Amino acid sequence: MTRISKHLLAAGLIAVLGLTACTNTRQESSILSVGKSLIDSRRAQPGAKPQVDDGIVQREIGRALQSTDGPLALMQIEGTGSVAVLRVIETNGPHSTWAAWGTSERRSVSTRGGVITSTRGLGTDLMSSSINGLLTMVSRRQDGIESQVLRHLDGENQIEETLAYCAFTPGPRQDYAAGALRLQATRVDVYCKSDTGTFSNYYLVSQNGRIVKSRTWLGEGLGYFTLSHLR
Amino acid sequence: MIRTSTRVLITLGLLGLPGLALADNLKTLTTNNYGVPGGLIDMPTAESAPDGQLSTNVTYFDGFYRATLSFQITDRLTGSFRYAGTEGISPTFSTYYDRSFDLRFRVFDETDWTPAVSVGLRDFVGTGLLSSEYVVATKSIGDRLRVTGGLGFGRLGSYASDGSIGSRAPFSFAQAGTGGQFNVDDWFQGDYAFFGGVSYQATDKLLLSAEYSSDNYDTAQAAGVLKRSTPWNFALSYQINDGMALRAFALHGEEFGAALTFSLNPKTPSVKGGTELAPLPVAVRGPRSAEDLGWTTQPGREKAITASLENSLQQSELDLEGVTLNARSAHVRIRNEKYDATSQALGRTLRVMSRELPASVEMLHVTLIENGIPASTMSFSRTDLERLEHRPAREALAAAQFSDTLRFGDYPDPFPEVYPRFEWSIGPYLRTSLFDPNDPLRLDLGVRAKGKYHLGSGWVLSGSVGQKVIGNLDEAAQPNNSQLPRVRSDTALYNQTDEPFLEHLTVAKYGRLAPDFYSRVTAGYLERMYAGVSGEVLWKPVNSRLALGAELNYTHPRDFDQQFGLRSRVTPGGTIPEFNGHVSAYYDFGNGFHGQLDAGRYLAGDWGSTITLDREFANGWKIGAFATFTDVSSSQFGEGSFDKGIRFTVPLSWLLGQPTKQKASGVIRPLTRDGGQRLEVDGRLYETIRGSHRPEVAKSWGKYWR
Repeated sequence: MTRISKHLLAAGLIAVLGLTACTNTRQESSILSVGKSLIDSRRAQPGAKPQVDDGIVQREIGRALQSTDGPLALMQIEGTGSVAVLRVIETNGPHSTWAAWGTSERRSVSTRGGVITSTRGLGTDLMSSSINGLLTMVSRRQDGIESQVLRHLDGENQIEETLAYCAFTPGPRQDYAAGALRLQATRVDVYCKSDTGTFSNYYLVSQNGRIVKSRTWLGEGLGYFTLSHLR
Repeated sequence: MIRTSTRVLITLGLLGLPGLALADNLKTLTTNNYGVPGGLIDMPTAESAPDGQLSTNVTYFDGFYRATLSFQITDRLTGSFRYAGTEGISPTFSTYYDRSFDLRFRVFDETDWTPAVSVGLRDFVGTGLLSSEYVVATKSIGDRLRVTGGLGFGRLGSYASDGSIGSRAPFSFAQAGTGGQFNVDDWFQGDYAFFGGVSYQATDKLLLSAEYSSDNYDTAQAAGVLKRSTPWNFALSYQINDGMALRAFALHGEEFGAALTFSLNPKTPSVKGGTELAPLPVAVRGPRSAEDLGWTTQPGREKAITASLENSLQQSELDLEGVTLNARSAHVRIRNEKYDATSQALGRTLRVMSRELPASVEMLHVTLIENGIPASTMSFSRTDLERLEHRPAREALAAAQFSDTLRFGDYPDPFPEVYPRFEWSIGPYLRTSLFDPNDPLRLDLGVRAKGKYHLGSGWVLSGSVGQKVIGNLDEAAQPNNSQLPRVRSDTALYNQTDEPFLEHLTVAKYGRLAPDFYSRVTAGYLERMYAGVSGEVLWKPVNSRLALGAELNYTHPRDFDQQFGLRSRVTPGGTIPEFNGHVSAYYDFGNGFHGQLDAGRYLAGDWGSTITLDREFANGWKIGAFATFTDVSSSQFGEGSFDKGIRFTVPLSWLLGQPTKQKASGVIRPLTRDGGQRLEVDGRLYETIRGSHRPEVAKSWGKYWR
């Protein structure tokens, strides 16, 4: 409420200061589009988490598996309750960029070794991460401490680095079943501490060292994302 | 198992992440009754607002109004501009309005054992009703309690003075005269007195304050508009949210009052990083695919590549104006009307190129076009683009090469369909008149239509027509006693019209004279008050933070109805000269501050210079102040003594969380007189091309991969 009311106030002010009502250029946003973005951002406020019915999700997964032979994954955003089936749209070395399957919506996440390293188009995006040590630790299912770096844009579009020290604790083996995958995996719990707070991630690692599922904290704005590989 | 995690957790604890103990140096979101950051009431403290914080405070108690704009210029320096009205205090006005400027600097930070110490000047240029200086110390005790003690001079040394240093001219309405001078000789002189107080943060939102005031309200008591039965003041402040606070206070056992503060921080946009959709990812070439040059000999292939480039850039809301394609390199000519962070426009352009160009093309060049002329050329190797996509952004900045387009060499010609091109927009406008003693805020609302016709490379025909719908600007009857040619003081006469008016109608030619040199000639109805011809040359190397410019104008005053007619140069204060112009130096200090120095001849024929200093935030916010000193004496200039003011720019993207180049700008002058006034002409060169040059692009480089 507070953030929105402040910005609505400023919007009113700026609207009379220099906005145009209609135009044929890209340069000037019209009043209508300002109103729309503010309403959109209000709708995007967390609070009312839509509960996506698991039946629908399973049906979507089934359809996606049938329609393509490529990699697929299920992404869940804890903060908003959103769920999406993702497909790989591009690869660059060890990185893959994923977008929602079955739509052309331009929002994406990139992964390395099955773990999300950046997001685009989600707001307060994770711009890049350094997770070398993390990947080694998790795939070997070792305990110990490693650091990781998350990079975001601050209010002035400068890269702001969050350096976190993380403690890795491998747990017992468990079954993992999602999409076309049925396997035994080891859960590695990771507790991380940065200047500004703490967060708890976990990773499920298969026998041959592949991370098949991860719950990772992507920053204050995005919160926790869970990525479950389906193939 | 348990043993392991315990060990791990202990080690984590011992890593000694930096503590935040006293690091915040007495930050506060509260502002006092003078609108200055601080937890007390009438008295100052050594507290500061967070860096960059901007607040507007309105305080009222019986017969006293104050509106103050405060800005935390740096972590240590606070600046304020205030407009205060007092009923019945002056013999000549029913309400006496007064403008004042304050500055405060935190000299020492708080430590475990010593307080923060600040030195401040209140009303240090102006007519002096509030003039005072102080040294103040504030110490926090625990998280909630802050204790302040200080020594004040002037108004702040007027009650129960403890002594006196030197002499100080007392305030009198007769002496107030033209105001606007720095009375440096009086600073920290005359009677002094101690003041002090405490503030207690009772809850997260509620702050309680009590103070012992050393301000005797001499003038107000003498006029019988305020009684003072104790030196004690009390207040209760409630922080509704980050952007709004309310306060109730009791003054001197006699008066109750209230204050409202709105505040924001330019560093806090609606959504950090923006909510715009994802860019296309880089398409990585297959191994050894770069050796295939077969495409260069296929007929029609180049045309098809150009078409798909154009289409793809369109989807990224960028306009492709031209392209040159070779076996090993490609050069695109781009018009960016969308992204206020130029780095983002460049990053998106390059990624589109990586997806559309044949694999043999290794070097990518992007020339940015502003007003039809090349503003800069950026080169990036495709291998680097592929290699750095998921790396920290600073690595891509190191790999980017910026050159002056003319020095770089050839750049693509525009496609035939680029010119001519017509742009239009229609929207509301708001025009205000501030600080008229008869009515401090007047405004007009109306409709404005703008059009731009791009005739060819660098040729722009531009016009703007307005029609007032409602407002009371025409009620201002400014008695004009200016002793100078009336170049700006007749504003009221320009606001009388109810007919459509022409804001400007010009033809401009932008050009490149040589590497690092830019030119502009504008002719026609240049602004509301003047028609004529304006010519400008700018020197600005693409990697330089320094620019030098020169401008020469031939001007003729326009009719007050702002249609097509011109009026005589002869005014009661003198004849408006034909020529004016300036040489200018612009320098980006690189630490968030930008300076500008203009020297030359002003509209009224006076010679002098203007100093402007802006705090510039990388997201586009700018807040600055300027002052002009010319050979016009302060008595000839009239009230205010010299021209000065505050200017600001608010990027709309900050508010929307979406990229847009649109911004709202404004200038607040305590007074507009005829000395030190410049011509206002659209599209001056520095602001036109600066955004495409490396220092400015590098500032918001974080958006390159966004």
